[in-house]
Amino acid sequence: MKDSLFSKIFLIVFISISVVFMAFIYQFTVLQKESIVDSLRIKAKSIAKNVVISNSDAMVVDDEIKLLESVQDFVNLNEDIESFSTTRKAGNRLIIKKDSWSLVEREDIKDKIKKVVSYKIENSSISNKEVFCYKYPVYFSSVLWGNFVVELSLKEYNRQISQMYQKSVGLMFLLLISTVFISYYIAKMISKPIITLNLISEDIAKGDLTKRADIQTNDEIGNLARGFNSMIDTLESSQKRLKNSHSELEERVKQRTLELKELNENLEKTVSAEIRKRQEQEQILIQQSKLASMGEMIGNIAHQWRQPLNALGLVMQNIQFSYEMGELDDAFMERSVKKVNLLTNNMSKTIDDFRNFFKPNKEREPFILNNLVEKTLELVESSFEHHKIDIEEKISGEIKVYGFPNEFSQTLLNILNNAKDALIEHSIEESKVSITILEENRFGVVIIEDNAGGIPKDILGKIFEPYFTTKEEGKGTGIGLYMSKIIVEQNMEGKLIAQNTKIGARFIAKIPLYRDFKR
Amino acid sequence: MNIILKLILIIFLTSNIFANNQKKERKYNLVFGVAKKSSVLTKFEDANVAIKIWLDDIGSLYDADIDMFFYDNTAKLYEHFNENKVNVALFDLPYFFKYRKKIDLSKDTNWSILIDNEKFTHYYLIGKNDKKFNGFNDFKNKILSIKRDDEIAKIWLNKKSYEINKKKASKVLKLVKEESKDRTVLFNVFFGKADYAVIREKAWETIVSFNPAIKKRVKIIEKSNVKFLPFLGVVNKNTPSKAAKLFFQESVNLSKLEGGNKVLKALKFNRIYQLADEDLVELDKYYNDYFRLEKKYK
Repeated sequence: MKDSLFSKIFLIVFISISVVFMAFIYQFTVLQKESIVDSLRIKAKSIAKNVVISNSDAMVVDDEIKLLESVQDFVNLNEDIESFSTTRKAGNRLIIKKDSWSLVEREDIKDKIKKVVSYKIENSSISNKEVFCYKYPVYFSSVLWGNFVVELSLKEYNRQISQMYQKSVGLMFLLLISTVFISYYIAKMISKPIITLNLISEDIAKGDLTKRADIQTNDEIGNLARGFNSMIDTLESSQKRLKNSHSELEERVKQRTLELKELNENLEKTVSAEIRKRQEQEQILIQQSKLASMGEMIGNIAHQWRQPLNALGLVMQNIQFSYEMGELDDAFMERSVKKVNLLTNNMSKTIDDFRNFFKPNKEREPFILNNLVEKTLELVESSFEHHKIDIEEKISGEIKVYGFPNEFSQTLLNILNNAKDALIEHSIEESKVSITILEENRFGVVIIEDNAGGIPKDILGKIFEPYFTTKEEGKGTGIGLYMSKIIVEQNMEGKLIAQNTKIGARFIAKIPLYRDFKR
Repeated sequence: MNIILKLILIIFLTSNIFANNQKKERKYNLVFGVAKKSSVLTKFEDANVAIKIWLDDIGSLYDADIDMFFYDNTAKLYEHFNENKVNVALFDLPYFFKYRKKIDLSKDTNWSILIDNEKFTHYYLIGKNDKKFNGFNDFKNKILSIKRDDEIAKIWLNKKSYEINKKKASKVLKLVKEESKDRTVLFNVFFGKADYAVIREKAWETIVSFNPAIKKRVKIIEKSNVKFLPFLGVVNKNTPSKAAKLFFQESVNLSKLEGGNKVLKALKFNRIYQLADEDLVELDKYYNDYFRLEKKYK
């Protein structure tokens, strides 16, 4: 309330009107006072003049008795006269009061006779109280004969002043009450529209847009209210539109959510289907890879078997020749059968070796890296020899590692076969594959290098990706190196990297050392 | 309608006027006769309307209608008094004592008034406060001031003059200034316009009370040793005794009436009182002496 607009306007208007009224009352009081004093002056002047008129002869002929009696009568008849002093220029001074009079001898008069009229309210030394003192010079024929000093009682003056103050206080009280009402009315008139606007703005701030400012004035506040109402209308319609939009949006979101849900469900189904499809494809690929491996294995077996088969054929030819020659005896047969058995045992062993090699390990196990490399090389040895590819081995001691030996052997086979294919593809003379086995930090390392010219730079980063192959269709699956990387890095916690050398490609396979696992 | 209203108004007004004009009939009718020389009531002569209202007011006390007449000729007053035309007569003292025997035949009661709560009045001979002014024996070439209509003062002055100077005062004095007011009489001496003055004791005291410094300039030379009455009233013996009785009984209540109070204030007296014949013995002798001396030195 203290800081409200109403109280501020009320205070300003109240103070302003009060100041004006106070000034008016003050001026009124001053004028009234002057008027009362003036009425005293007129009365005193009238008395003095009357005394002069009726005593002019007495003044001139120095008839103090007449003067005294006349003035005494005046004083006694006029209740307002406190004292009346007559001073003749060349005579005594008579001071007449209602209950006494006195005479001041000429030689005892100290003050001079005033030549002009003067008056004021003062403390009288004659009456010993505050009186209105009027000094009136007595002129006859422009000659100053003396003066009269009329002292009038302030009883009537005080009564009128008191009455005036009472009236002023009454008026002030009346004006004060009027001022309160006027100020209240003006403050209310000015502040009401603004307070109404404020209340409505508060309602609007709270979100209630149903309220309107009911102000019908034609002033700025009326315009403001109309503008305000118009603004609320706009705001309300905007809010309605916004709500509608919001509802629409919500509806659309719901719809979209439903669609998304459906889509999601479909997607899941699609993804599942795709995954399943991919898995199937992968299975197909793996199957293909297996088939390819089997093909390779069969090829290798065929290479392995070529020599014993030839030897077996020769044994058979020798038997036939010996028979024809009649030289087939028991010893010869025994020797030939031994030879055939040896050869068939070797061939059978070759099949076992390949079967063992391609048989996946179920658990990780320690193995001697050198031995595994030797066995692997044995598998490809015939094929390499057939294609006149030299194999160079650099082995430095026995290195025991920990992993899946068959899977690792398959990895090495993949690398070696790729090297062989590259060497064949590029028809490299003095084609060579070198294998280095070494121990490095916590790994047993197998480095396979060829001189087939290396892997093109643009595909170097993609060779371990699944289904990536540079071979002709039907010759490569794109699964070999991908599977090799998975075997080495994921299954055996090793590392398989490929890089180019000046003359060819280099594959480095790192297998954790067994000793570290033992700890 | 208007006519009826006017009629009612006229009836109402006329009835009021009639009612106002109707004077209530009173039991007694008292006629006062005042000798102008008696001085005290003569100041009412010019205020007939006022005195009639006041007297009517006073008369209500006695259930009487009071009329008052002023007589330049005291003999005429006596004549009317004797003829019972005047119930109460106010004579001046010289006339009364001169014709007392005659008046006594017609009168029933003597009365006078208390002035300043005193029955009797004294007079002063005052003069300038100087050794040169010694009194009645020093009147020669002197000016004396005296109140014009104060017969008692004049009688005292002349009797003293007869006794001391063997002449009427005016014949010894250079000038007798007769003034209408006591204060003027005194002021004449104060301001040096007169050498002597005869003034009523109470008047002296009153005037001096206004300015005690008067005593510095004016001194009392002699005081009268006679108890003077301000005036003498007599009630006609034919006046109904009850009315006369009521007159004196109710006079004490005079101040309670508006009119009575105004009369008392104007005359500056306190009340009316009855005088016994014994009260007049000294005065009777004094006046007779005076008449004798007057006759002797006239």
